[in-house]
Amino acid sequence: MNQIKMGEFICNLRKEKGLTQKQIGDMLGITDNSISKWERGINAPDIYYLAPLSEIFNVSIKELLNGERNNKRKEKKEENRNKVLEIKNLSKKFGNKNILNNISLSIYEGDIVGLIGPNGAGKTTLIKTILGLLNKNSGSIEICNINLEKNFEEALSNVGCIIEKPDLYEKLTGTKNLKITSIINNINDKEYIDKVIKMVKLNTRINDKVKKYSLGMKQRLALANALIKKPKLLILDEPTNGLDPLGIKELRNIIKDVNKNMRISILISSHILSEIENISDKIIIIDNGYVIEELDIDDIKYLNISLEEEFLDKTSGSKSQIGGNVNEEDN
Amino acid sequence: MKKIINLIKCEFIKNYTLKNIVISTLILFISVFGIIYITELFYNDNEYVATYTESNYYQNILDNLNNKVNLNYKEQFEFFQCNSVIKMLKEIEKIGGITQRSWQYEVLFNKLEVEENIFVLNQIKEKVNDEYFKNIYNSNMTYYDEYEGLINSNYSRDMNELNERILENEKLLKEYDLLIKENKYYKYLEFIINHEDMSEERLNAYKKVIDLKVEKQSDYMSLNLFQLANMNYQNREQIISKEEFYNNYDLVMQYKTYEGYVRYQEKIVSEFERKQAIIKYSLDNNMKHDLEFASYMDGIDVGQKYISSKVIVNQALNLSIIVIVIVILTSGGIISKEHSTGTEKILLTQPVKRWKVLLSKFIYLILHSYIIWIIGLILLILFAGFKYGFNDLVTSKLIFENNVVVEVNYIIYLLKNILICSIPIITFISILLFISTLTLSTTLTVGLSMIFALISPFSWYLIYNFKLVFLAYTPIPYFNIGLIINNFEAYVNSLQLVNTNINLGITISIITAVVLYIITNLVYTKRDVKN
Repeated sequence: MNQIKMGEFICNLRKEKGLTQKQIGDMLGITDNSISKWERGINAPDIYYLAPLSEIFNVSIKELLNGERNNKRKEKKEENRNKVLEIKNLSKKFGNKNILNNISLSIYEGDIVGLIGPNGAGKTTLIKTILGLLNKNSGSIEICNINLEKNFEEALSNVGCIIEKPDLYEKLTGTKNLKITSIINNINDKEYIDKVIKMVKLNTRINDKVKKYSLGMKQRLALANALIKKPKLLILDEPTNGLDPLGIKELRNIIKDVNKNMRISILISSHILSEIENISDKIIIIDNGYVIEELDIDDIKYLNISLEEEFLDKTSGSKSQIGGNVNEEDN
Repeated sequence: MKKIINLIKCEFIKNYTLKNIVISTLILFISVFGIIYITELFYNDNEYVATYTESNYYQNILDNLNNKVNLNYKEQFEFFQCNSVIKMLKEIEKIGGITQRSWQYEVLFNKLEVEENIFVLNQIKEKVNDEYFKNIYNSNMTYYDEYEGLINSNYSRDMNELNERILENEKLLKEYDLLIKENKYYKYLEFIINHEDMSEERLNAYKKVIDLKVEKQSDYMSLNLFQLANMNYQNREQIISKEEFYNNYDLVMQYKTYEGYVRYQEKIVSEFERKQAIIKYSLDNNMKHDLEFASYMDGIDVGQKYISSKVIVNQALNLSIIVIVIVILTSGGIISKEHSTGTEKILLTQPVKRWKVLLSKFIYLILHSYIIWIIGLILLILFAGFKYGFNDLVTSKLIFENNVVVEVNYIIYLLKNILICSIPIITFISILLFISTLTLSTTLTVGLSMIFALISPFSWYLIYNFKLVFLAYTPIPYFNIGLIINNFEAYVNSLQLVNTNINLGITISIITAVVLYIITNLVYTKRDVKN
């Protein structure tokens, strides 16, 4: 890392954005003097500030560290890449308690985005709000550029989901469960349905009643159910809960397969950090209803960051939220 | 619209499981056959008739008497009587299918009495001066056993008189024998006319039956005649003035208000006129009617009722409570169960607005009710047709409209009334959805709904006997609106206390259904799904 080059790069980026050192300092909770020292190459920003800086200047951490833009990365972020999910300033309260606080995030076509956070962070609440199961208090949700509130049916036709445990009609067979989803979504393509069943490896058991399935089979059937309507976005809330290592591996392979071959974007939440790291392109850390950090998987690998340490550090009583206060002496 | 239809299809797939079909079928079959059994019980004369197997009792007496060496007069009479009774029981068995109300039973019983008279007369004739007979005859005792009573009434020392009496009785015996041999009801009526005094209405009715040469007592034409005769015979109460009413303590205690008194009396009168007109029309046109008689109002004896296919099939209007019970048991948790198992998320995360999901469930429940009802109706038609004949079902239904009897197509009449009776069922479904949505508890939904359903048939009793008048302004009594259509006794009695009718019931039902559905929709569409 070239400290001077990095400093010049930060300075240029700041000027491009039309921001002063004081403004940047306020956003990060530090003095303009600290910013000045970075820009002159006297100090390098601490690792804690890399993510917020990356967010502010819309560059990757790698680019910050290199002191220059990566063109390939720039292509990837070009605006002609479709957004499948855009959330702006989403808030949700239960009674007087804020569960989601001004959350904004985007998911692009083809991405697999991992959502991690401690228990009670708001992951499931966020997912349920995206799906219309919970009523938001403010903000907007757009799925494939369709506003969820204004055009609920059209927006949700692009989403398949599994929320916590697999929700299936236990007394019906796998076939009938899929039939119900296909009838509601007007899917008559039998070939496609058979393809989905084969993809989730349930061909031999599809005519059995769901109550006879193992948990792994139920998860796979739930995934098939979500895929039946040919979604652009698949939302999976802790899909590996309760599965054995083989079950986890099977599910992971199916998810990767679905993303690669069907170009379906995936938002997956989980407690198993290694699984998230294995599978995702981008990771969002959420705690107390705030987005704490967004990390590209490339950055994590490049910086040799331990996701577990990053997770524990950011969420275990840490005050380093975007816009939060940080003790200047730490810098 | 297409999405709602698709959702309804899905509800059928989810709910028409083997378990639910078995439960529904069992309850429906048991209920329908239960209703048929009760209806037949109400219409049929099931009075006990002694059969030939009862003769063992008399045979034992005979055997005891046989073992005696010298029988006295009374024992001789008992011996003769036992033999005659056994013979009578054999005859009853031979004719078959008669009850204590049958004319043949009456004739055989009278014949037994005549034979006993002849026996005693011959005993007296043989030993006319016997002190035994004289003592009984001269006794001041007022209580005799049967034998002594016969002696007392037949004793004479005039041989000619005795012989004349014997001849009279033997003639009567021959007439009875002939009646049994011919076994024709109108012949029996001719005999009655010649041997009894009777009122003019009864005499005219009998003469008409004789003219028609009706052979069976159960023939509907003769029963129509007797019904009409009975109705014409009854004195109708005149409606008194308000002043007279309030001066009558008993009436005030019974009806409370003059309006209640007038309402009730007018109902009784209108019912009477309706039935009288329909019976008369049936007679004039040689038709069976399907009137239901309440003996407290109509004075029609059970022996004067007849059952037809229409009477059985009419019970389809009373299937509403059965339908409600089946709907509760198979679909009571249509919202709450899905919430507790988490499967509601399957529907709510589909690209369908919540109000459509709720509406589809509502329509599904209505269709489910109609399916059960139609199957019940088919069962009734099949049973009635095979037992009482399908012909009756294709003949017209008689209704009394604007003071005139009109013939209408029976099946259309039935379907129209089922449609009317189904309006409160739709209200019930709204109540079920309301409770299920608000409480999210299947136990509470099923429990409360069952309570409403089971109170419903007894509501009119509760209103009249316990003065729970407020019930008449709730939808509960109207779940079985067939009771109002058929002028159920307890409903008619309730008119003394409350001004209600089918139109009020329908109005209350519709308002309740709409209000509850709106509330349910608001809660269902706005609620956060947290589980």
